[in-house]
Amino acid sequence: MFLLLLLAPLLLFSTPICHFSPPPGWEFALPKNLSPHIQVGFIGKGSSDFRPSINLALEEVDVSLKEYVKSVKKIHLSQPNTTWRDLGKFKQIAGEGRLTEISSRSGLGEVKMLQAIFIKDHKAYILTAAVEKKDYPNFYPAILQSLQSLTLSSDLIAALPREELRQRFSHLYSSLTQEPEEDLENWKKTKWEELQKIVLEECPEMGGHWQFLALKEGYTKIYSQKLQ
Amino acid sequence: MKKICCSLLILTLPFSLHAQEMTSHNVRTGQAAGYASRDATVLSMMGWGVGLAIAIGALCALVKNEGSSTSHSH
Repeated sequence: MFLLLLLAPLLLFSTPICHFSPPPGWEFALPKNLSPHIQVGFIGKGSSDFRPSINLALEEVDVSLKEYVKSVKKIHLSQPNTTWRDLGKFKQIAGEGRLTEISSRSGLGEVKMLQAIFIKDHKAYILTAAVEKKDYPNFYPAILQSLQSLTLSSDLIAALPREELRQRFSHLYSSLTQEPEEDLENWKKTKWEELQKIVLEECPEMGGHWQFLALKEGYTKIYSQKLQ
Repeated sequence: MKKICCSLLILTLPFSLHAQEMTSHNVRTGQAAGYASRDATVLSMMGWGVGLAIAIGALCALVKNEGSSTSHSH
């Protein structure tokens, strides 16, 4: 009982895993000079040098979704050559959020952005997609689907849709912490290849963000190295 | 009784820490959404896209470099 009381705060504040599916074929964007709020980004191929992109940002908040969107509106409208529109309630897998549209200008032309905001347990989850205005109609359906895919799961394995896959990952992850006494380098290489094969070939439906998180988790276990 | 008091104290500690954290952050609400739109444009204009396994390798190199540059600076 005493132990349960001790563990209760930890359970109360355990952070869920947040993930989304970027449009198929979009590549992982290496983080360079991005704000610390940005967790991950993906980029696709557009008709010009301005490539369509999507990123996930997080923020600790103590306001409601309505209040948060009001503040976001002020921030966007304080930028020159920027217009902002509230597109209303937006259904995501994680729950009901808000969809907004931002239009602005970049060095490469006019830009349209869709921003989906969802708040749960004092945390704002912000998915932002940017695309050149002329490409907007082509990418709109795929981007909308990606914004809707925002999911909160208790952990990476729980997010998997099939019991068989959940068991395979549980076994694989536990095996990663049991290093052999000999030929450690070869063991690491084999395990890393095995993990990549399962994540990339057997879980395509989980989307690029979940796959990235699963690889990162495994890499950390194999190489005992903490990644950002 | 002492045990219960102790438990209650431990239970309420994270709440007070959490509240303190929320108030000590003197940041503008909504700033992550502001940065996200700026960074979406940055990614679109200058983003370097790679496959996931390569991304992990690149992040690993980044961590190693940061580690070695930190150790050199001391």
